[in-house]
Amino acid sequence: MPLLGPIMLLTGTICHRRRDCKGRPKTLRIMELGVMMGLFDPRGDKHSRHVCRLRNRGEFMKVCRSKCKKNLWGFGMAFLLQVISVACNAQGDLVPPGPPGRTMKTLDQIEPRVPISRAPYVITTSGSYYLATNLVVDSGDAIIIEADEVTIDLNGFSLCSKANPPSGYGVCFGKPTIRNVTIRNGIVTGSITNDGLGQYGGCGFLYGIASRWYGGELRNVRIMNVQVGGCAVGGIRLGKGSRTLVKGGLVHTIGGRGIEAGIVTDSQVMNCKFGAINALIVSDSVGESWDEGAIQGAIVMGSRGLCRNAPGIQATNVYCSYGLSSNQEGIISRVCWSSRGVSEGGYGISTWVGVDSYGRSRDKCALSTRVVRNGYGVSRDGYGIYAAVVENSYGAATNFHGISAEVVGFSVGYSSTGAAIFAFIGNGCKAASGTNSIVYKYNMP
Amino acid sequence: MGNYGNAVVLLPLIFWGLGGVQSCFAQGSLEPSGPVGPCMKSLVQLEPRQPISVPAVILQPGAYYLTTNVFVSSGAGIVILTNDVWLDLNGYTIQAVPSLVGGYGIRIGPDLGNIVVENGFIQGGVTNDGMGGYSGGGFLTGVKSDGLAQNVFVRNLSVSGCREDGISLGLHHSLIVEFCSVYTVGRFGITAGLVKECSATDCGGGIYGLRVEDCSGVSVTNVGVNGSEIVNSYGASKKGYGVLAEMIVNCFGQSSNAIGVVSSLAENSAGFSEDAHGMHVRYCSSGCRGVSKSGLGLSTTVASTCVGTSTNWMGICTVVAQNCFGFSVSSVGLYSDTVSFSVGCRSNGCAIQATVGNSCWAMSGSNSIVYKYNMP
Repeated sequence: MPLLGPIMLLTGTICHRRRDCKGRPKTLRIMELGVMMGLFDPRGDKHSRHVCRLRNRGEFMKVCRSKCKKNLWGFGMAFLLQVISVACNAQGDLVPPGPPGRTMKTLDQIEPRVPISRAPYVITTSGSYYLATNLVVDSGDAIIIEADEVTIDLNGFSLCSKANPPSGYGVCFGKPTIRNVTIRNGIVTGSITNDGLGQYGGCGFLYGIASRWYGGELRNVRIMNVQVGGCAVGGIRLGKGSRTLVKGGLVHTIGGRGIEAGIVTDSQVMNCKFGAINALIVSDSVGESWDEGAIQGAIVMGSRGLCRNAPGIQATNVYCSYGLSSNQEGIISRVCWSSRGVSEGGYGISTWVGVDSYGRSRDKCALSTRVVRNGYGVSRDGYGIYAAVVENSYGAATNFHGISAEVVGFSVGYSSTGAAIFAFIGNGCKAASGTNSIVYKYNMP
Repeated sequence: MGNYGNAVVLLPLIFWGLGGVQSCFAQGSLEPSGPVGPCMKSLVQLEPRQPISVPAVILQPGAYYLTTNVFVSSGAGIVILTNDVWLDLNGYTIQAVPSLVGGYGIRIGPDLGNIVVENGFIQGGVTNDGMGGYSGGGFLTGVKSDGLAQNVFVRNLSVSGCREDGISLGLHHSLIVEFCSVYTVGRFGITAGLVKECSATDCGGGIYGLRVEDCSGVSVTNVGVNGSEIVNSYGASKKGYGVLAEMIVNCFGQSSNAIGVVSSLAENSAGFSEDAHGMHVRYCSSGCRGVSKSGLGLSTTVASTCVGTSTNWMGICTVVAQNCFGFSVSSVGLYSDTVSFSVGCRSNGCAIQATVGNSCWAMSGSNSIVYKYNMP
């Protein structure tokens, strides 16, 4: 449509020139073109053959004079051309194709989620919520979830408690059974501190994120990128079932357990009174606690557990991990691969199957297992390695046997005061220090 | 001249009019009117993505997001029929009405690629009677990809209460499910090329992927975790295998009535079963432990640094065993053609039964070895 006017002008010009407009003033030709285009009819609207009539200039001007007295016609034509100009600017049909639809977004569409800007806040309706500011409570809970299918985006803000004595939950699951909840991107914090001796005190929440109904059932609950600190009893407590996930959790200074969930990955739990991480699967995480085992789970991989009065890592499977304990086992497991367990008062590693692993202890056995291959155990007062079968390994002890086993093959023992290797069957073995005590020796001196 | 007198007067007017016609094509001056001042963000700039309501069919590439919880009464909640789509459920739920039996929460058309679905819930009303009987209203599948899709990424999603699958993308390495959880679906919880940091609980079959990492699958009637490569995962089932794979590393599988772990290769893994084998490894097992009440503790071809324990059958049953420990209460501790550097244990029975033994020992009971070397 915007090009219609020029096209018509051009077409009209060409057509008109093919007829008989030679020698006439251009002004007149343009006027005739206006007539051709049907843009105006100087004689009114009763005659359709006006183009032919306009071939006679005298007649044309006569008509003009008769129709446009005092040059009103000229003004009219000029006005008409201006209207054309406007029409060209509109560049489309003036008749709307239909009723006007929505062309702009509403504010609800821009941010449809429900803001949370006060505490305590009870969620009773399924939906998506976000924190609009930092929230502080003097006592009790900050956010209570009493509905299924809820997402809370803490939005980088924090839930803080000044409760003294400690009380409430940062985020509380208020029903025994809740399903489909996601909490992410924020901070839940109190002011609980550790005196450095494992005694926790101060003000704040009891729990960071937890169910009020211990033993209740949470399903499809996922926590991601949430930091919890300074709570009196627990950090993130979702239960031990496999239906809950924690990723990117950062928990510290908790007077109880740090994280309790189904799967915990990429998380760090520091300075907890009891178990730092208790989960079915723990991967790429760090746990540090005073009591009850830093990391407890069925499967642990790529993780590090440090505990003062309990095992560093306690699991069925341990892979590429490090457990450290002051008074108990560094690592307790069923199978252990490429891992390191260190303890002062307990076993370094206690397992059934040990491969490529390193155990170290001051007072007890460094590496205790049923079978070990490529193992390394070093102890002061206990066995370096204690097992049923030892192969291709090295055991050292200051005050006890380096290696003690039923069968030892292709291994080296070291002991200052005890037997380097104490075994029924030895095959291809050597004592690096001390003497071997082997009943049946083969392929060795 | 009189005839042309008025024309002379009219000429300026006509050109003035034509000037108006010409101005509509000139589009204004190219010179800026002044320096650019401070601009404000428009609402479109704040949220350039497209809000959608359900049911919706996405036909154009782009980023879309949900603005509220939605209910689906028939068919699919959201259908994606084009490539290059990013769908953010924005924390909301696509829920099947109780009367719905069938349909999909999200359906991805055939042979599409570059699709992301994230951040929300898909909810049906299907329940499990505890014995593997799933009934009730709900979607057929929570997220379904038809045909040979590629580069589909589903993350931060929860699905529950579906009649068949929870998240079903197909088995291609570019089909990824991460940090999702599924429970109570009648068939597989999650099917994808790579499944990572996910859990599927109370499902007909738990997790099925080419590669599975850091996952937990719990099934009633089928396999807990099933895949080609499974790493650092846990699978449990009542009637099916706990873990079934070509290769497993650092996994734990347990079953009540079937084998705890079935694999071709196994490393640093453990299996437990009450009525069947603890672990059955077709070729090689290294650093593994199998425990069973009624079946073999560990059944494999080549065992290295393994432990097998059984109450009523052999602790370890293998062709070649090295650096192993087999224990049985009422059968042979360790049974193998060739066994070296190993220990068997069975009170008042056969600790090790083998054709060739090298440096072996009976912790309890006695050995039955035809050819003994380097041992008493």
